[in-house]
Amino acid sequence: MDIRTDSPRALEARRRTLELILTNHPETCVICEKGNACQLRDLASGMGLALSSEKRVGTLRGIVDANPFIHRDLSKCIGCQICVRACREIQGAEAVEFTGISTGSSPLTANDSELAGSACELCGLCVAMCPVGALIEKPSKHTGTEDRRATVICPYCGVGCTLELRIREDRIVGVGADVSGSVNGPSLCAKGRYGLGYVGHPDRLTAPLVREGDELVETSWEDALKRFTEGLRRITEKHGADAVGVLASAKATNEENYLIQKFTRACIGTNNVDHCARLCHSPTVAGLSAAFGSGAMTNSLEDLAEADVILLTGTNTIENHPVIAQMIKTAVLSGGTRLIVSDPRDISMARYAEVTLSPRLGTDVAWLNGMANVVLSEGLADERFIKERTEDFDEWRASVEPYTPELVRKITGIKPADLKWAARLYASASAAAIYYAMGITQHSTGTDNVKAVANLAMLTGNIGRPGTGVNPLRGQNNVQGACDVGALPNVFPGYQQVTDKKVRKEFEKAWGVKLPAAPGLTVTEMIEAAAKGKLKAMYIIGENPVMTEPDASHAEAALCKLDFLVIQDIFLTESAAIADIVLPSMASVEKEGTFTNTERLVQRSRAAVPAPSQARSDADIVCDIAGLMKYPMNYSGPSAVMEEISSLTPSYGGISYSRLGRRGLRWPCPDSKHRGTKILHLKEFTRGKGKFHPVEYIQPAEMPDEEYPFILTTGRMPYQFHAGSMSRRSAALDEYTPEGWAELNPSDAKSLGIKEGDPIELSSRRGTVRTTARLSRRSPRGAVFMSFHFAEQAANKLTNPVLDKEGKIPEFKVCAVRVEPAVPE
Amino acid sequence: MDVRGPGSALIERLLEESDRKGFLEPAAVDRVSRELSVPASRGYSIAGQLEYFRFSPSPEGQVKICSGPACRLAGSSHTVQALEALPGAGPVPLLGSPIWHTPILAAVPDRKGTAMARSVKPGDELATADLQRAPLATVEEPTRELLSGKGELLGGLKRRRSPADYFRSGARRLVMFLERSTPGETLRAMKASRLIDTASGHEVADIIEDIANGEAPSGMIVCDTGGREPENDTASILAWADPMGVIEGMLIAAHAAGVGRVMLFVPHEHRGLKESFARSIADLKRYGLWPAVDVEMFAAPNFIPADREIGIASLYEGLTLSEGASRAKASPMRLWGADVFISDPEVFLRISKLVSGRGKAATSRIISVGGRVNRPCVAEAALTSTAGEVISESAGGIPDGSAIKAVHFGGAYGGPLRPVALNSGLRSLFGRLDSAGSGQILLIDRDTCMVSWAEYFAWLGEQLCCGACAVGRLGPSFVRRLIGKITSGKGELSDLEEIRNTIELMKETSLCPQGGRILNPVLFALENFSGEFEEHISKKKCQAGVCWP
Repeated sequence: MDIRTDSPRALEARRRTLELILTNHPETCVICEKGNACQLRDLASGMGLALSSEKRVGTLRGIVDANPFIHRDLSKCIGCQICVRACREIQGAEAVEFTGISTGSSPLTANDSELAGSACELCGLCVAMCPVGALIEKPSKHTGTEDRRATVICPYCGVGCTLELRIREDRIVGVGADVSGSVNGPSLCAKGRYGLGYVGHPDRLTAPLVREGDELVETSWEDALKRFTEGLRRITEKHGADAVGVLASAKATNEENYLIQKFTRACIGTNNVDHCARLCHSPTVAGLSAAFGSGAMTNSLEDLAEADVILLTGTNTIENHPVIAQMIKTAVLSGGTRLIVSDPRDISMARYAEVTLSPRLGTDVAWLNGMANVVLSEGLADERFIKERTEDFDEWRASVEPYTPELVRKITGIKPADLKWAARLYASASAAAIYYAMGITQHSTGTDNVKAVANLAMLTGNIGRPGTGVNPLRGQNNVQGACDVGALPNVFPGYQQVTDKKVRKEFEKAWGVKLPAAPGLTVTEMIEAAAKGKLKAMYIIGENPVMTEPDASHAEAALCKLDFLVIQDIFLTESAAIADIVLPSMASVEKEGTFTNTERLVQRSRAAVPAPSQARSDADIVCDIAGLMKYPMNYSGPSAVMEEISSLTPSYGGISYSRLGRRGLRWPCPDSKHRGTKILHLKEFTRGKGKFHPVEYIQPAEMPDEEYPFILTTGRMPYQFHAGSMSRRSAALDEYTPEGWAELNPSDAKSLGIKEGDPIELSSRRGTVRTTARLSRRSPRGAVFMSFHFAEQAANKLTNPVLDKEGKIPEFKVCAVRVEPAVPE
Repeated sequence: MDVRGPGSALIERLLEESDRKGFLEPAAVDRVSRELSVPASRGYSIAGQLEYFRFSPSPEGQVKICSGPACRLAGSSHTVQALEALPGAGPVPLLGSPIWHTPILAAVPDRKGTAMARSVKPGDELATADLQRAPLATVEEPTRELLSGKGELLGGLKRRRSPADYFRSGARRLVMFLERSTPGETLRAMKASRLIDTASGHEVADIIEDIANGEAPSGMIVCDTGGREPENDTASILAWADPMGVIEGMLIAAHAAGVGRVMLFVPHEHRGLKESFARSIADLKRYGLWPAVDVEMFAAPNFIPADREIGIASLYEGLTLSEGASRAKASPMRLWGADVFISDPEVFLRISKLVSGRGKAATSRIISVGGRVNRPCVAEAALTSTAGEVISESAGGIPDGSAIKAVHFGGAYGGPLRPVALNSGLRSLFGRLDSAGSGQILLIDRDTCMVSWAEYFAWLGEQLCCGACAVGRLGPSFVRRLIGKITSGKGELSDLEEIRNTIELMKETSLCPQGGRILNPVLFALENFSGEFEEHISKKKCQAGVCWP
């Protein structure tokens, strides 16, 4: 077929259609924020057309929306419906539809409500795609046209989205998605798109600070580093190297994390190095390593849509990993994938699910074993897979026999019919994948939960093929990479055990020093050791334990007890405020390096904007300190560090800057010819045979009682991140969610005499927090949900520091609390 | 087999909520959407595109005035003006004919009953009492005089043939026919009849044969009993007159096509029609008549601002009209997800004649006659007769002293012709029109300004376009604005060219057929009454005295 797009007839039709559209377009070009980016203006001027004042078909529409992200002026809408299609076909949110007739038709939300009160996720995809000025990013208003663009990896969650920054005079004036080969394609979430305001925030640390009495005062780098090295020497000489603990950062690059752990082990001489993975996915590393031999996501995000069935558990994906949620939603909406959601809260993803299970908090082992019980009793197990690729099956089978659907109902509250439906759906699929997050791991039984997930996947043969797998969703942009390069107390880079003499020798040879053999302390153990006076000094990089540790008041007291505390961060965080030395570091968009996302994809990020004043990269700071401590760590740049990483880390063996390109490489990538690994455990598990682990249901360490009758569960909000240091300093995010709240079931609230917005107090055995009540049926009766982003309502003052035995993760997801109306201030 | 479409439940629930309160409140949209796992934005969009649904309470006793072409000619716009002058009255235009009134002006007190008001001339005063005194018509059945007449379908139909009548006399013949005839034989009989589908202009047998030979897993036969355009009730009247006859025709079509699904689209507003079909389907099931085919009814608001087939399919599939239009553009098969033959009661009633061996080439057509005639009516006219003959025989001729200026053929998709057209045969007249045009004939006298008449159809075009494509959304408004310039004395001769160009653009580039035909009446008016347009522009003169005294 011969199709011509430039025939005189086609050109004339195009010209006349454009003319018609212009009759309905307001005459605001001069002041329209879309400016030169307006495609209508571009096309019109290309055809020599202008707005006609004489024959106008006016459509005056109000300008709506109070949210701080998106400015909607429907009078400029040309009805192209790209926003509708983007919302439906790419984002899967289906928040807007073309409504009304004739000139009155426009893309509207349900009941023509404001975007913020609708199903809109405020991701901004529609704004990015709008060809005219009908949808404009509010944070980018009045910032002018960029003079250059740069691509970086998003500093927020573990999806690893590539951001294209629009930069004007070295300031970020807008953020878009880099569609060329990125993980995220055209999608971003609200944090990625509107959450980089912190980079140029006036609160940024611009000079080193040292404590003089009660105050932190500015000093020179020379003085700060001198005091640092003297302090460290004093402690190590008096108390030994193990009296020092170092926290690396899941927000720092792979190269920096590598250098930090090397510095800790080789220069200080201790394995006391850990980072926040301990607080999110340490049970994943422990559980999946035990079952499969590797503690990472088995499959890639690319093959997510290959799944016939996805079991989503313990992940409020729409709110915490919005871009992965978008992938799942579109897979479901396209009709190829069926979804099972299991979560104690009625999360938004349930709308897309065929089966929804609502287990009671902390009962995951029971329902996962129950699923396995149904699969076995109904003959749906993949016996060939079990026989050929796994071990210890029989012992495990005996362990799940008691978990009949009826018993599971007693423990979890899940109806037997629903459990059976879910089990059949998952087991009967030709490819079924499990995705989970911290709803599974942040329990005192977190590692058992992960093992139960692994058991179910092996039972049904859903490992080692496209569209299958066990896929933990990591919470920070480099939490995977920080683990990979050894920022953990028990392993060197590549998860090589510090206790392994052969491995240790290899690293000793490479680093030129004798290395400690005993595993070090975890984050939570360091805090405990500090509280007991055993740990004397801590060097904390990009972490804020005062906010993120369980029983935060206790953690703060422990840090205060240290003889020497150094914090390296981009802001004066709650933890930095009590430090002896505070070192200003660069934000991730100000430096070169690589980040490894949740699917093991190693990607390069570029320095896009200069750092403020004296702020330096974590790598430069650590290397300088090492030099001052007579352990020179000299590298020509991040690529040289990566060369050293790949020489010592088998799974990164073939990774180098020259090979990463725009698409990156997924580890394992053992040599320079290897193209990376999309799916782990293809023919055999990393450990050889997959191992079934019998796990029994154990109730959470702290259950409700008369004094503390509610269960508190913590998590994230979609528009804030972690301890809030970045997101709360991004104006749009902060304006949208300036404070936290506690979500209560309306029935519970009624019985307590609490109404929406009332001040309330939550108390646990560890502390009391004052906040406001938000009533929602998303929380089941008897449960309260709080986020941990806000220092003013620090949920972690309430959480229970009890640890999972293997993963050493605290039980953030369950603790007993009391809820009471508070006296208004 | 599933006959009820995925969108049926959504429409039914929205109607239920709306009828319960008199409007659709936001919480109801959310509730219904949640119940049916439909995004709330979609529920709202679908409801928001249908005139039937209101999202805020209507004032008590709000009067709706039919705004279809025949009622317009009968003076509905003057009634609106007169009502607007009454304190507290807030008349709203109404399309989609919720009552049987062809082609009589109707004023409809909302949810209180139906009043047939007298027409109002310019300058007349209308008192509320006029409406109150007007006879209340029931919405359950049409006025009886509309049913009687001559011809193959209406001839001898002195009263309605109820389902009970049918099962007493006709059902056995149908079963015998279907048992005796293989699908191939039925198709051959259909071919021999040379029956034309009034909706598409193609031979029915060809369409059925395509379905029979198609690769689609499941086909469907659909009857649209709502009529193809505003206010024209002929389809509903026929369906009400002989509901089982319609179903019989559909069953025969299904048999010939080898499909197992038959769906009746019934206007929700026509309570009588809905009940009648509900009873017919229930009887059909009770008697176990031809269980090989599933018959279901889908009731939805009648006035759909879109191409009729796309509109019904969209509602049936639970799509927004713009989605439906896009799907249809990509592939007609994607519209329904199956091969579908959709037509109106007239066609199915003619197919049903095959049972009695009377299937032959249609020689007549059901038409409605209105405007400046003595007796507006629905009639069955021989295609060989002239329009003038039909008017004098069925509509009582033209009132004494009336001077006919134009004859409007084919309703909203047809257009006005010169009076000489009254001497033309119906076959050639309807052959000139867009196939979707209805069998409506309206006589227009010298009191009507043809420029205003065109402006009215530009307004109607706005109401009949979903807005999915730029030309459909903006074209009618732009044309209306240009004609408005002319009727307000500011027109220029270049405006006429611009109107023609815009309509041409719509014909060439609109997303669905609706955009291409919606301004046919304007184009016809420009072609046949260009002098009146030019007179308005050059001499600022309105012969009818409508635009200026």
